[in-house]
Amino acid sequence: MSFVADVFTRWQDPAIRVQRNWIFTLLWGRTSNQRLIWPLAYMLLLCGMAIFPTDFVRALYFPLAFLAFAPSLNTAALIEALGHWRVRKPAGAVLIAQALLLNSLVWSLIGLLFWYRTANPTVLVLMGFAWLFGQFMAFALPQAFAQRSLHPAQGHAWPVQLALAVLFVPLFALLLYPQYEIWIRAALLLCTLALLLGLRVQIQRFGQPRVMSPRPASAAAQQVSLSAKSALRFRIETNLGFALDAKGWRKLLGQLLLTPYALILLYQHVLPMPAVNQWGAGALFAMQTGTFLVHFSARRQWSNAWLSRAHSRRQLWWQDEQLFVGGLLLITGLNYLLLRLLGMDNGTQIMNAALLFVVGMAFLRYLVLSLPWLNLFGLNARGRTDLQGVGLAFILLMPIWFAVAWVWSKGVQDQIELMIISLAAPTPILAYFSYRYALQIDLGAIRRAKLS
Amino acid sequence: MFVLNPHLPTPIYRQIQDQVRRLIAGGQLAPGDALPSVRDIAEAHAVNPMTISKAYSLLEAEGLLLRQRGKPMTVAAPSAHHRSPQQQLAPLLTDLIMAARQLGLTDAELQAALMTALQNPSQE
Amino acid sequence: MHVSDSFLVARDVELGAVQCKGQSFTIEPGQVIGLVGKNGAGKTTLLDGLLGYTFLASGEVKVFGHPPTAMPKEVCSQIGFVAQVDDLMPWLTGKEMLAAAKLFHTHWNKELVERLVNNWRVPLSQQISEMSVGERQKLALIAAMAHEPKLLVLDEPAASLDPVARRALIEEIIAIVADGERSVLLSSHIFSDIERVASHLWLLENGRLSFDGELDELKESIVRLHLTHPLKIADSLALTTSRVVRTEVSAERETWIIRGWNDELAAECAAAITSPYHVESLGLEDAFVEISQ
Repeated sequence: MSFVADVFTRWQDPAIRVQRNWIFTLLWGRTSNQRLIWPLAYMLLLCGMAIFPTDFVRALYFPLAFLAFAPSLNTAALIEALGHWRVRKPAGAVLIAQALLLNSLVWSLIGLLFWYRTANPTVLVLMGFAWLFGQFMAFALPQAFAQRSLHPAQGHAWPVQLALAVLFVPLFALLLYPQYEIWIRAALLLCTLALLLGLRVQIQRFGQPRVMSPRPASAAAQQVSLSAKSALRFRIETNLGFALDAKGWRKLLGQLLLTPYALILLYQHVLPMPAVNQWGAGALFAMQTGTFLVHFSARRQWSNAWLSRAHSRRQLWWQDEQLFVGGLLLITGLNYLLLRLLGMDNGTQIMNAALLFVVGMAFLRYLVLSLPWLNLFGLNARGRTDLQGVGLAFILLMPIWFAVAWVWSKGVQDQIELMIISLAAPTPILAYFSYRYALQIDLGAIRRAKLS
Repeated sequence: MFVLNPHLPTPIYRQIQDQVRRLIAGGQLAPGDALPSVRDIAEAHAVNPMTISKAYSLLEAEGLLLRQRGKPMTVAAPSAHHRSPQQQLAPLLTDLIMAARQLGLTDAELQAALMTALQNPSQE
Repeated sequence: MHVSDSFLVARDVELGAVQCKGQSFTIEPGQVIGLVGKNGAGKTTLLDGLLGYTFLASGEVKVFGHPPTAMPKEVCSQIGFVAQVDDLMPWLTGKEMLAAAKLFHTHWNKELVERLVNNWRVPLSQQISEMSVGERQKLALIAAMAHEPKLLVLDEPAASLDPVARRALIEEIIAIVADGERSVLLSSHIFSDIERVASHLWLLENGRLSFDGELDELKESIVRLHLTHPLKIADSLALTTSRVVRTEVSAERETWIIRGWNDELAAECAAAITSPYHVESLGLEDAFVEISQ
């Protein structure tokens, strides 16, 4: 406990005070712009907490947890920078601890205010947990967290995404099982205390000198051993446009599943809007439309597949469509299971939404692939991207979208079934037209468009 | 063995032909000597093997080289086709006469220049 | 040479800027064909049409006996193509890209790949999006050569390579064709490379192949005829003047650029011109510049 005693007894130590204040300002941002924006955001949030109506404040439940996590990114940047300068002295640990303490007091004001407004102490505990967790990760893996962007999906660092996943656990727990709130709160408190201890250990370690381990020089001539990636995985990656490694998987699942589900659950449980009682299966599938279609744009890579991976346009087309249909059925099936498990809607609606999704996606895809002047979510029959096509697609498809949404919101089963059939009927014909078009496609033009 | 410059106006096969003829005439290549393979010359000088092969074929047609199955190209034994020194000089003489004519020299002036050069061979 | 031995046979090709109606050209084993022409003459378009990237407006192409837009898999493995600017997938590392190429070809020369990767210093463990242009081009070249195709088509391969890498590429091409069983078609505007490595030349001018033959022939057929004033011409120079492409006239001399010089013309000039004159042969680049003006 001598370390903790040190932190408090040396508060007024003049040698430490100046540096502590400096580090405290650095925790608000490494550049002067950041140091302007972060405190401003903080003030705004504080005012918002004080002024806004209670209901709205309650809706900030989730965002607040993430917001409490965010300052740790600044800490991580700071720790990484200090590490570069090799500022590793025992006194340094005390410095950091004091600066962090100040920082935590400042940010806890928000939590206290929230507690005061909503009489819900759980959020305070949640924020404390998130804040401590973030700081702990910042000390443990500073390089991973020292990223300029706050957007979690943009991080190259798996630890950030892991940390966010860990945060999601109590959030979802609170959302889905509100009856156990007290237990969850107690569990969070325990975790918070554990994290406090862990954080103290990390800070003490920070103060100790480190030994650099030099990297061995790479061999003069590299052995070129090429392990075969499976052909299927390669084709999937070509469709996606990015590698299907750990980061790619997270990006895919995060965009496709995590975000829509989190949003829908949020609106269902935290901010229920009585006017929109159809939200559930329909809304979920609707949200996935864009992200789903965007991941099947292998046509842009047809120009470099020619002669090496494919020898006929028919083969290229068939490979792409196999993947599309397979992916469509897989995602729809997965969503169906998840929706039923989470009970986000009733059975009939889920089935309707699933069927509509399958039929609608196929219809959209083959429509766009039959009309070369359309461009929807990166999908284009000629394999190029042009804004004109996007605009035309918007104009052409908006009426269809509105019609579908209108029929869906009315909720009449017969009409919904009719709508599904009316979308399903032309789809095979459109598929045939897209096939005929693909057989005549100009691969040289695709290559030139890509590189211009 | 050869000095080849692909950027000269003279095509490469011509350069090889000329150099082989001079080496044989000068005695550096004796009958029975093996010439480097097409591939070796191509790789050593970074020039196209077809043009080298063409030179060898033309030289073989002239009777200067002999192609044997499984063996490298060899210099042919002197035969009836082998030209006398006067015959070998003939193309050089034609070139000299053409140059003289282009420069506007009369035959008498050419002969005088030749005499002078013979009496005072230029040392370089 | 029996036509069925040819790797590629093209007739009356018409496609975009390329309008070769009435012309036919082939690629035989062992040739290195340099495709030259001004920028925008249609070199890339021609290559795309010959290999099936683009459908021809009219005409007929047969690659190994098959139309290029519908080749069976075995025939495709006999062809390698490298585009002018690399068309690689940016999220792959060099290693993964080669592994993917290997997946789709039955024949793969591992030692060749290793030698090239080490000699050309290609950083295989880097992502393609982080490689420089030259490194990407080298990677694309290695991937195209690794499966030892019979016909290798390169579109301006050396444009983004430094001189050392260019020379290494030339040496590789020479090694490829040394046996006389494989061919290379390369389009380039670097004439020094073409002069070294090409055996034949296709000259694309105004959409037509104005020259299709041996490189040596072209070099020997384009000359500058320098005549001094006052001109003394004893006889008619009909043959020679019919082949004159351009003339430059100044006070003391006159230069005729002749395209199609041969022994007949030489004899005609020797017989007819009595004023001093001088025939200058040209290197490839000069020749090309002369006829392009």
